[in-house]
Amino acid sequence: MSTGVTLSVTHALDLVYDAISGWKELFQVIQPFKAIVKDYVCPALCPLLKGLQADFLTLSFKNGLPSAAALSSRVVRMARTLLLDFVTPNDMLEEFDLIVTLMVHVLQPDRSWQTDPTPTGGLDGSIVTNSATSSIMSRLNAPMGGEHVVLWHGLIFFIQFLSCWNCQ
Amino acid sequence: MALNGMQLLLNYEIIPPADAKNILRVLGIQAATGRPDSQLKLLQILLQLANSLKTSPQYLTEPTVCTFLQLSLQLCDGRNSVSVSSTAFATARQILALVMDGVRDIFATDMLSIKGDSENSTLHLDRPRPDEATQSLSLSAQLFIKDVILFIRGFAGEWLRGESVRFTGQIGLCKLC
Repeated sequence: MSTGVTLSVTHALDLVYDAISGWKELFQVIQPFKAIVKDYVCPALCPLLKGLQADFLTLSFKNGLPSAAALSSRVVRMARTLLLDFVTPNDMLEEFDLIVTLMVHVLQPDRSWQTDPTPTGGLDGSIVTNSATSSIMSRLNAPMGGEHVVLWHGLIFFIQFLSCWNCQ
Repeated sequence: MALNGMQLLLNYEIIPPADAKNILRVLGIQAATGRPDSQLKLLQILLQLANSLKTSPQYLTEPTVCTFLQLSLQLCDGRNSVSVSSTAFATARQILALVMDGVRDIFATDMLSIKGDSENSTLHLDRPRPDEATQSLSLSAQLFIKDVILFIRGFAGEWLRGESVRFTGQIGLCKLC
């Protein structure tokens, strides 16, 4: 009867996000669902965060910016949801430490693609894309491209995270 | 025409919930035909059937939920037209919502009491639940999420049998989502 299930990563991330954000009390309170977040969701998210920039560039070359931006924004959204909704004194602090570290690193421009050693643009070079990425953006004719989406997500996340941290 | 007839029967709630398995088997055969109009009709019936079983959760067993999700996710891949794929994905989301709502209803009173007791308490599923249907619904939700995580990691699903495709394009779908 069945010909097998084929599901893209973007769709899979959407489904997990739907479940975790829509029924967060289940994942915060009920032990088997808590275990799913700790043992399945966090370990799956870390490799995606590690390879976020590389995957973005690969996908933008292969399938275009919408596809790359769709995946990157969903990964960041998922990480943000986990950090904002599940940072309570619990047994998942190690996982969240790793996710925070990865978020901090991954939301910086990818220096490995930089041919010119001098950073382009802004004062600290943290928001403005490097020259290689900029050339990709201009070639794909995307003035407000996917990387900006990711950076905006990151910026919003940090503001929310800091305000949450101050409240605690 | 046969699918329209089936939809009418579901509308009038004539079909007994015990026949859900047979209907799912027929829908599975129809899903393989590859005709977009039949597939769209099939997805409508699938959602109607799932909603009709909401009132009788004893029929929402783990294999039944698995078949529901398998059928909808099977139609979400790039082999079908964009309209079928996006409808199938929306159907999968609806079925997931239905299952998760069921699980939340089961544990609603427990969660309230735990939140009242202490912030750090957790509820263990080890103690016996009122009936098997509730256990089955909760198990289905857990198995589904575990399988979706396996898809994200590039592995094949264990509960939803099949293979995953890592970083497939599906630009049209991404735009729709």
